Parts: sequence; structure tokens; C-alpha cells
Amino acid sequence: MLVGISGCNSFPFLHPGEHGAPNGRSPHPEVLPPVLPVDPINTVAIDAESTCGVAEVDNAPVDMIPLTNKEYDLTIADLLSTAVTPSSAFPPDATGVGFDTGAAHSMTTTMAQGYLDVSQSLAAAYVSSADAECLDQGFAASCTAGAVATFAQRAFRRPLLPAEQARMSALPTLYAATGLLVKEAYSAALATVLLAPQFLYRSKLSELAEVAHADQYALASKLSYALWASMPDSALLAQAKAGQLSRPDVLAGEIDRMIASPRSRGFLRSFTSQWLGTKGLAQAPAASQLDAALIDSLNEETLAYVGEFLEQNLNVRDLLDARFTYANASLATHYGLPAMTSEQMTRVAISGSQRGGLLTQGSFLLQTSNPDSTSPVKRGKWVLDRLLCSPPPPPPAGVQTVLAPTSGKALPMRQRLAAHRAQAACAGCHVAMDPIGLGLENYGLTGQWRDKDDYGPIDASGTLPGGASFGSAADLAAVLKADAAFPRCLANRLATYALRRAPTAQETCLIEKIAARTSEQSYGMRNLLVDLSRALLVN
Amino acid sequence: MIYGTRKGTSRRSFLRGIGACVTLPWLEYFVPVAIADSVRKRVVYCYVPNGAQWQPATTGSDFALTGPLQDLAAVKSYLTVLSGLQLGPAKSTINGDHSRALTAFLSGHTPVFPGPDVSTSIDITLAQTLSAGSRFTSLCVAAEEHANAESGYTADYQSCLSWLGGASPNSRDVDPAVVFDRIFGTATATGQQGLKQSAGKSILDAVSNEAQALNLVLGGSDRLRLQEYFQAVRDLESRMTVVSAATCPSGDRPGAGSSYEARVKLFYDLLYHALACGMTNVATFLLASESTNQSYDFIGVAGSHHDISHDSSVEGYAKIAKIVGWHVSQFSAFCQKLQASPEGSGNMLDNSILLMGGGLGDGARHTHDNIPVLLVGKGGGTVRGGQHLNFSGAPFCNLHVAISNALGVSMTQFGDSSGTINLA
Repeated sequence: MLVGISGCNSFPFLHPGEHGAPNGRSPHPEVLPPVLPVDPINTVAIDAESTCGVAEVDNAPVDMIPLTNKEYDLTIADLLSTAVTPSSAFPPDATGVGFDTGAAHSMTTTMAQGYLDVSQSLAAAYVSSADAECLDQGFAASCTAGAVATFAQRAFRRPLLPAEQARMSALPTLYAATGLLVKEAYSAALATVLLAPQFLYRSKLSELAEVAHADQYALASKLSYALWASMPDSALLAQAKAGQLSRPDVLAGEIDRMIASPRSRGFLRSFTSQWLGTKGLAQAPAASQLDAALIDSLNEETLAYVGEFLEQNLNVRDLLDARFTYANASLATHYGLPAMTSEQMTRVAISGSQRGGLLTQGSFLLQTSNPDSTSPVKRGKWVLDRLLCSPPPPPPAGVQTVLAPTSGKALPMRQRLAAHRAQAACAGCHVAMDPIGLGLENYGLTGQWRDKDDYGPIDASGTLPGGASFGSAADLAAVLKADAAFPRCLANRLATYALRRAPTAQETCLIEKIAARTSEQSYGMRNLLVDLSRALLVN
Repeated sequence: MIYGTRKGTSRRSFLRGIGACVTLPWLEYFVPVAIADSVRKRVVYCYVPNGAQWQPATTGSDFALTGPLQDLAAVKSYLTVLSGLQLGPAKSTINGDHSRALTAFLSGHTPVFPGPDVSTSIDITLAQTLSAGSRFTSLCVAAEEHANAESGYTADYQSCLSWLGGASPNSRDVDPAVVFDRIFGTATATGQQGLKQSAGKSILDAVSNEAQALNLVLGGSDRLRLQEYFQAVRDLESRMTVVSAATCPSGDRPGAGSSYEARVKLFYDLLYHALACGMTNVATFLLASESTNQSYDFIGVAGSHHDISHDSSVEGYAKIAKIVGWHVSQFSAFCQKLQASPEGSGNMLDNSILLMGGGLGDGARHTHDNIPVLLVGKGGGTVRGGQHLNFSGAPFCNLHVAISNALGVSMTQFGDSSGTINLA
């Protein structure tokens, strides 16, 4: 009676032959393909036949978008040209639709206190530095008035309204009148800018605002926070000022430029750590098994690995089995790779079948383990959820979820999990989760390779619901790679992060059309991101 | 002038401009502590997430304190256990039972999807009357900061117990040290610290002005973020206003980075002190966010509380009972402090109603029938105490109506109430 559990009836994958991987099953590129120049004015209609329908009106209830902690840090770094991470003093971000960018958490007094403290500290450090403006003039109000207004214009990412200009310029004098020294008054004025809602939120100004091209400035910020996780640079703002940014050719060129820029690393790290769940790796149940430096290396490996796909424009399907990774001496030892001498993370080619691809990386294997054992169920769930966008629902109500026998002899993992198949209520989902996880049993709870566990040699073979069989983790990766659900899922996750909400039906249609292009090997991750941005971030 | 004084008129007109919520009196109008000669009545709501089951076997006055209720023995004559109440507004055919359980608990309404949008909660309604003349209209604390969003609902629905109405959760405190400073005032700041503090007040004043100015030029119609921002800033500002709290005995200022276990205890202590010296008469305490993954390894129950709540084995339920039992025992210690504090011809507990409960009964099955609810206190002689009442499916909101009337605030209907409950 519980067989028809929603969400588990039709897994996306495993219709053999339906969607072949690019160039057959195992491209395993030993040599990186060249970076394809992205056509700067490629405005090829993604939906030429208009089968996706028209764009739905954006009914998002919130006009003001708060900066996430990561965005706050990167924006401060750009604004003050200083490498700091002040958000470590803030409460952690909430998440919504899988990402901090999609959270609708509210401003609390605790957060406001944090923003105030940080604003005052940053401003105080700045005015005490040798490059502080107006230092040579003894912080006279005649100098600081203009400096505060200029700073506010940069911080607000748009020209000031005339009234804002007046208020900002007046701050140093106003504060000096309360008894502060001129330097302190200047510092307090800068702190005011950093605490102002115009800085902490992005917002669309109405036609009431006397700012030319207000919509263009909003677009500049939308692009920069989607692709850089930080504020727009002067080139973007110049296009906005000229009222040209929304022109299709200009917009396409700016998107290409932004994705090619090193600043896109800010986006990539933020996105990847949340998409693949590595953000909280140090808090994973099994994390106490490894020292902090090694956990950090595992995290960096995955970030650098995915980063290379964007920088080198590699086909995203190869994420599942590329023949390279990033490692350092400790990680090489942990994985059993050829010895390395430096603790610097370095790109290394991979040989043999034990490593290669996301499913063999410790960041994934560790985060899905229990404190003292692997969890094939959690690994299978992670793959379905994060790589295929088909999260199985929670166990049905009233079902015994603990498989460990309370007495008697413990059974090997494969036999213990067989209990799932015996119960119809469980089988619907576990028929997909368990084989995936069991296929990865050669990787221990911290990601180290093992040929056998406590019960004997590992049998990593299995059969998936669609009928595809595999004999090893490498085979499993090839099966998953052949499924169009993987690039479709990644495209959906990228779009969701950038849109800061779930895509609409029309957007989903566009996303699927774009993801289908990954069937061409030469269509790399940068092409994917460019096309998604052009299709979804235009207004 | 632009930076003129902030009078209620400008603030009220601002709030009118943004529409949603106009009942935020404590942000601005704190009134100096007036230690009333007459005995005040108080109410505190404490929320346990992820489900709890503690129904005694028999009803009436002769019932045994079993399972998680054992540690309430010392206050049994003040205890009213209410079984069989249902939280109808939390029920739905769509996912999100944790979000609705918490949000409906004190609001009595089904929160709007995806939110935030729900009606004013009972504590805020009662605070208007009960806390008149107190420094704080209410205290709203939580032992955990954030929750993640559930099934498309706003994360606020899993982390906010008290709601001002509309899109606005009551601003909550999660740091015992902040609450301490707020209640007892910080030592007179001097030197650099004093400078920073006085500059801080000026800065908050200026950004409040910016928020008002920005409101006038924003596009679109929904400005709830700005409203939240404005509230948070004004709240911060009011906290910086040093008041003499010499009449309030306090313990030591809590240190930073306390453990979850320590935070729960500290918050109960702080709530006790705030109530004892008349800073407020209304408080809410969210013991942890709904769906919390908090680990109770300090009492030997390691692992995610939420995961454990879905372990429907005998062992799983035993672990939940242990977690709930720990919370009941902390709550009981709080009640005993009030009991030990003389007031009028009796003690503080005689004049208070302290409620503990949650919006989920069986956490594994997400049920909203027979939710866990108990009261300690006699509400100024209006609650008999020492009994276990069982109702077969009556709306939980009937209890909100009953408590309200017991505390002297006349009410005939709240949320989905169908009547009231006789507590006498």
C-alpha cells in the first residue's frame, strides 16, 4: 500500500542508450581540450522555436536582496581593497532552494549588532591606515565630506540620489558636532555607509528615484552577484551609466568577460561548496577521523577540480570521471597516489581505475559517512539528490529505519541493506539508492581505497532500476555520466544559484535545452554558464 | 532637519507607508521600570521541537508523573497537563509539517506559503496588556540561531515562535550575553568603548534615516526586508540606551561561545531575572529550531535530534523521551526558581502561567493531534493546578483563550478556537 511513494517511481537515469555520453563511454581526456573562444556576440536563440513560452512575470515578493555572508566578505574586499573575512563574526547563513543565495532569512538584532561592530572596526582600520583619504588634510570636513559621498557611491553600486549626496556629505560635520574628533567622525561616517540598507541590500529603485538608468545599475549588480559573488567593477558600472548594459550584444560581451575573469572564482567556490555539500565538511559526522588540514585539502581538491572545468571549459559530463585531480603531499598519501613533496595543492594526472571523478573524491565520501562506518544509503541519496536532482523523499511514516541488528551477529553491509528490498515501503527508493552506494564500497569512510572490509572482499557490482549493470565504481561513474539527467541537474543548480530562487517552468524549459548541448564534447562548462546567464539573467 | 529627533510620529508614518505591521510598540517606547505595587501576572511560552509524547496514564488530580514528566514532581501542585489537544492549523496535505507546527503554535493560524506571512501570535497580543508599564513588552529568545528552510517555506517558519503579524517575526535573541546586557545594562562605558558606543548610537540614528528615505524610492510593492532592517536597527538602538537597572540583582555576565546545554540554562536564568525584577511580564523561549539537528551528546544522546525523531524504533522513541525529559527538567528548575521567590502573599509561581509544549506529537509521523502541552503556575489563582485534563481533539487555541482570560485579558476567540477550557 505504500509502494507509490511520490518521488521514487521514476528515477531519471538509466535508460541505456537514450543519451550517450559525448564521444562514447570513456573519453577520459588525458590531454586537456583547448579552450574554445566563446563567440562574444553569440546571441543564437536558445529557444528559436519559442516552445518554452514567454517569460513569466517575476513575482518574487522581495525587492530587496540581502548580501550573503560570502557576498559581504567579497564586496568588502573589493570596496576596501583588503583581504578580510568579517562575516566569520556573523551567524551562519540560512539556506533556501539549496543555496545561501536563495535563503529568505530575516535581519535579526544579533545580525544588526554584528554588522555595526564590523562596520566600525573596518572604518576605524581604514582611517588609521596610511592610505586613508584626507589624512594629509588632517581629516578636515572640507575633504571628508566629498570622500564619504564618493565612498557611498561605490558602496551603493550606483550614483547617489541628490538627497543621499547631501546626507552623506553632511555626516562628518554632524558627527563632529556630537563631540567626536574629526578622524573619529570620518570613521563613523564611513561606518554609516557600511551599515546603510543601500549597502547591505540590493534593491531596484523606482522611477521616483532621480537616477538615470536605475534599471541598468540593478542589472549590473544582478550580474556581478550571480557570476562573481561580489559588487560590479568599474567596467560594468560604466556600461550601466551609458545605458548600454541591457543591449544584447553588450550584455553578451559583459557576461563572457565576467566569466573569463579571475573574479568568477568567488562565484565558483560559493556555488560548488554548496552544490556538492562541501561547505560543512569539517562538521561531517566522520570528520573527527581526519585532521583539520586534511579535511581542508579534501575541500580544496573538489573546489580546484570543478574550477578547472570552468577555467578550461571542459565538458561537465567529464566531472564524473576526469583523469586528473588536485592534491598535495598529505592527500596523495591519503589516496595512495604517487608521493608528492609539497603541501601546495597541485594538479596531478591520474592513472589506474581507483581514482578519477567526483565520486572518488574524499569531500563526497567523507561527508556521507557515519561516524564509524560508510553509509551506502547516504551516498546513494547524495548522488540522486545532488547530481541527478531526484532527491528521494524521507522514509515513510512509521517505518523502522535502523537496520543494525540489536542483538546477534552483525551482517555484511550488502546483506543488511537487502532488508530494504524485502519491504515494499522501502524498496521504491532504496532500489536506486542502495546499488549506487554499494558500488562505492571500495572507498572507506574517509575516502581511502580498500579492497575488503571487515567481512571480506568488496563486491562493488550492481544493477540500477533501468537495468544498467556495473562491476565497479568506475563503471558506475560511466553509467551516470551517460545519463542526460546529470548535466540537466547541474544546469538547474547553476541557474537556481544565480536566480536565487527555483526556476519557473519557462526557465526550466530553457535550462533543459541548454543542458542538452552538453552532448557535444566541445561544449564546455564555460559555454554552459554563458548560455545560462544569457538566457536567464537578462532582466 | 534631516537628522532631527526621532519621534513616534515619523516612525508611525513610516510603518504606515510600508503597510504590513503596525504593532511594534517596544521598539521605541520603553517606559522606565515602574515596580508595581499591585501583583503582576506573567506568561512564558517554551517550545520543544521535533515532537514530544508525555501523556500521563490517568486523568484528574491523581495522576503519576511518568516518562519525561518525572522531574516536575517538585511543582506538581502547580502543574496542569493537557492532553488530546490538536493543532489544526498545522495540518495540511503538503509537506512542511515542522514549519507549520512552530508557526501555528502561538499564532493559531496556518502560515501562508511560502511566507513569511502569518497572523500575530498570542504572546504579542497579551503583551499589550500584561507588560504595560514594563521596560520590555516581551522578551523573545531562542537557544539556536538559524534553521534551514523546509519544503519551500521560509526558514523563519522553523526558527520564529513569536510573530508580530504579517511578514514580521518578533526579533529574537540567541546570545545570552546580549540578553544580559539588554536586561541589566552594561557597565558605564568609558574611554574607547564609550566612544564607540556613542558613535554607534549616532550611526544607528543615521541609518534609520536612510531606511526611511530608501523606502520612498524603492520599486515594487513589498518592502518587508526594509521593515525588518528598520526594526532590527531600532531595537539595537533602544538596547544601547543605558538605563539604571540597579534594582535588578543579576548573576555574572555570560561569556561568549557557550555550549547549547549552557545556553538553555543561561536563558532560563535570564528570563527568571527579567521576570523577577519586572523588566517584562511576557516571554517566549524557542528551545531549538524546528527540525533541529542539535545533538544531545551531553546527556548521552548523540546525533541529529531530527534524525532521531524519525527513528520509529523502540530505541528511537526512548532517545526522544530522554531529550524531552532533559528539557522538562530544565523547565522544572526554572519553575522552581519562581516558586522560591516570595511575592505578595505567595510566590511568583502563584501569579504566573509558564507553558511548555510543541506543535508535533509523534515526531516520526508528524502528527498534530494530541500535541504535548503543560502549564505550571496558578495565574493569580485562576488555575487550579495539580491535574491532568484530557480532551478528545479540542483545538489547542481554546487554551490560548483560557490562558488569556485567566490572566485578566478578556478574549472570546483566537485562531481556530471553538471555545475555552476550564482551568479552575
